[in-house]
Amino acid sequence: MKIESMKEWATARAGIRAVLASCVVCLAACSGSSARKGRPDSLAQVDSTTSGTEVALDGDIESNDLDDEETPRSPSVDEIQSGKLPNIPLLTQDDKPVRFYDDLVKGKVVMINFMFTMCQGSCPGTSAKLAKVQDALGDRVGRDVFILSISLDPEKDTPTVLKQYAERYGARPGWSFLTGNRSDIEGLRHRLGLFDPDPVVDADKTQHAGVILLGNGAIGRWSRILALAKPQQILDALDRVALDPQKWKPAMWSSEEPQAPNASGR
Amino acid sequence: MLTRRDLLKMGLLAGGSAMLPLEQALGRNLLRLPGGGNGGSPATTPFLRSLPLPATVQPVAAFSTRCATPGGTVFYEIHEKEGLHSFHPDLPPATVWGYQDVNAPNAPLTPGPTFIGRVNVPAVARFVNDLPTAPRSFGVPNTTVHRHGGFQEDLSDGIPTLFFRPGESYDYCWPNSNPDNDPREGESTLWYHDHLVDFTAQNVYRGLAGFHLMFDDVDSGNENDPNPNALRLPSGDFDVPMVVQDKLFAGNGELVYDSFSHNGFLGDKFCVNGAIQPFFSVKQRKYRFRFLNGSNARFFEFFLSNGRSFVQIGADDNLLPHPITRTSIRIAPAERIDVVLDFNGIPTGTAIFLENRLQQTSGRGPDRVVSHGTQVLKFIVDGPAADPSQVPNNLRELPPINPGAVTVQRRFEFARSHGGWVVNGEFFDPNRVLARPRLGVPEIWTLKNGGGGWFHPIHIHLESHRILTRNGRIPPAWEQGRKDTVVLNPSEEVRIYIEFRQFAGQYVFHCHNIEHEDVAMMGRFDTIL
Ligand SMILES: [Cu+2]
Repeated sequence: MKIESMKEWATARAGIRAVLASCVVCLAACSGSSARKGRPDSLAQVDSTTSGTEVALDGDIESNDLDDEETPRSPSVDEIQSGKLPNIPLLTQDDKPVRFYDDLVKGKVVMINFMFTMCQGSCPGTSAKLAKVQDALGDRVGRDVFILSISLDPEKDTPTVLKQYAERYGARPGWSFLTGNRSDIEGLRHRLGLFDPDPVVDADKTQHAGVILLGNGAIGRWSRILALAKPQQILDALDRVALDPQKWKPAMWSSEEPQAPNASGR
Repeated sequence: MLTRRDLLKMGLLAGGSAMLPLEQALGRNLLRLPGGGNGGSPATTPFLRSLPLPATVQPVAAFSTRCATPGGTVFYEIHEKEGLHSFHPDLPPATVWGYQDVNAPNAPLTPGPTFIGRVNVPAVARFVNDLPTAPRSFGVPNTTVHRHGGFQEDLSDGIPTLFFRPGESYDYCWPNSNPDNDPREGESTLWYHDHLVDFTAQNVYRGLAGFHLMFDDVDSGNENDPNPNALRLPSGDFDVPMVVQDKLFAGNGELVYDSFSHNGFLGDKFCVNGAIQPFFSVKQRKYRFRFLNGSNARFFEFFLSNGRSFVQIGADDNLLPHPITRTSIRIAPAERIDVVLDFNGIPTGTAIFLENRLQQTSGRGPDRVVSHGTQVLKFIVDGPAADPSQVPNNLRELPPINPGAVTVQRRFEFARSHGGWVVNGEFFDPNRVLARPRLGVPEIWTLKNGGGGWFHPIHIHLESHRILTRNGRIPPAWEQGRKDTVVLNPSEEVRIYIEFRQFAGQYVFHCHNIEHEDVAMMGRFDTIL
């Protein structure tokens, strides 16, 4: 399904502007429209266990939830089982409107990371790493595998800004930089599991920029790797998920390493 | 409820992997059940079904193998299969992966059949991978089998990258000897499970796990044993392993796993031995229950609804030196707690519930103990029975250790980093060796939790260890025995004593919150001569 019309997109953009105008601390208040109606994982929800009385709502469970809007919710079993992901509208660095699931993930092999162009922490390293992976994959990018870099700072990261950033890293067709509505993107980030239960840590965007998700949308197999990995390790992980399982051979490990560094004493 | 066996009879199930025609035959998509609310698993009526008891693995004729096979070696053949499993009568069967004894092709797949090992009786277990080559959704059919708590060469330890693929098999050589041939090192409750690098969480959750019990002259598995050294703990039908796991189910009965639960996956149904909230009829006598937390990320704390205590006799793979009476038992992923419960004197018909009162709302770890928990299992007291068993005050003596003489110290910090998990700042790289302990040289390892409120149950392969201190203090009595998994509570620093005595090779230690392990809180250590 393509995005219905540019009008729909325009509405979303208007929403972004409204949010910018009205909301100072945006992360919590705007988070997660699509991951909202999920399954609270609390003990209380282990259902109808007939513990005699009403199970386990001990009063303090609720207080533990602090601000309900801040607590990331798990998706419903039906959402998980469907294999579908939030179909949020996004714009590419070429100003092209797309839907996240239908257009970018469904039936495809993808590598996904979150970033923002002003990021000084982990993002530049991750983008440089992805550039190396892109080069190693050659013309398979855009054909067998797609790279999706999604902005966590969508108001600043307009398509124009993302386009410049993409050029800086030599992104070729098949590597998309994506922006959209902040609450949609925050919902997507939660759905993809890149959140911290500690709201303070979670509010630090750089904490979510160090993981590369690897997915095979055709069979619903997902894995992930830290962007700290060497490009070859990322390529290997991609093979395991998707591209060429036969290339994954059983192996013992090499043994040439020098003495372990952390031993004291003899 | 249609069981796999019924389906086989009806000719609906040709082979484990022929799922599509089967789904059509069942009209699976039409079998929607009322939802459990809040987007969770469908509602199920508790205590409808009796506790499943996994069968014992039976030997097969000797075969040629890479393993050494001295006289008396026992041979086994296990097939890894996909098939249907009924977790509850209210739910249609779910597609699981499991272990199947070649002698028992109709047995439930998960948990797998229980291996019974005898000390110094070597075993060769051939595992044959019959899994589908191209499964849908979660689970990756390259498998490697780790006997958790086992004292074995690296090639038989389930090295995470040394997998065998569909159509292939692998022989695991289990010598079943004790370190230093010391009877004080004798083991009791082990388990076996898949250990595939990056995908252990998915594969174990699909069902690839089972028990492996060990017996010797002391823990002999015979409550009538005339040998004066024998403990005569409850045995046979009265020695019951119970693996507790949380699972999530779709309306069509299928297992649901969220591949994006990087922080640790939680289910909302509690299964014991592959059944949601079963009941278990017990006689008015003593039972030995070996609890294993086989969950990916959930911790449990069990209480008995009648307020009685547990008599704990073992922790992880080992018996304690003396029994310990506890009103509740907390158990982290991969830990085992071996207890005796006595139903003597409790009137026939009495129901007693095993309750989990530990609230946990995220993969980070448990929140708190609450006053009313979830009933996981219902014991129904069902008449008298002879009870020749006993719980002696002296169980298994601990081997002496001398931490003061240790000269080799290592430090490992287990921390969250950039949305993943690291050991000493590095995520798992099989070509990076974090430690090279020398065989026969005791060491002290400091295991530090890097903070952020995360819990990390750390499992070290090959040898059990002894917990010396938790944050500088002596651990509780039930943690003073030999352990193979040690929980690092938030920000805690734990010092352990460990000595590797045999088997030079490549091993791993890792967090057993399996999602943490997969991304990639695991380190390689090489034991050297
Ligand atoms: Cu952990």
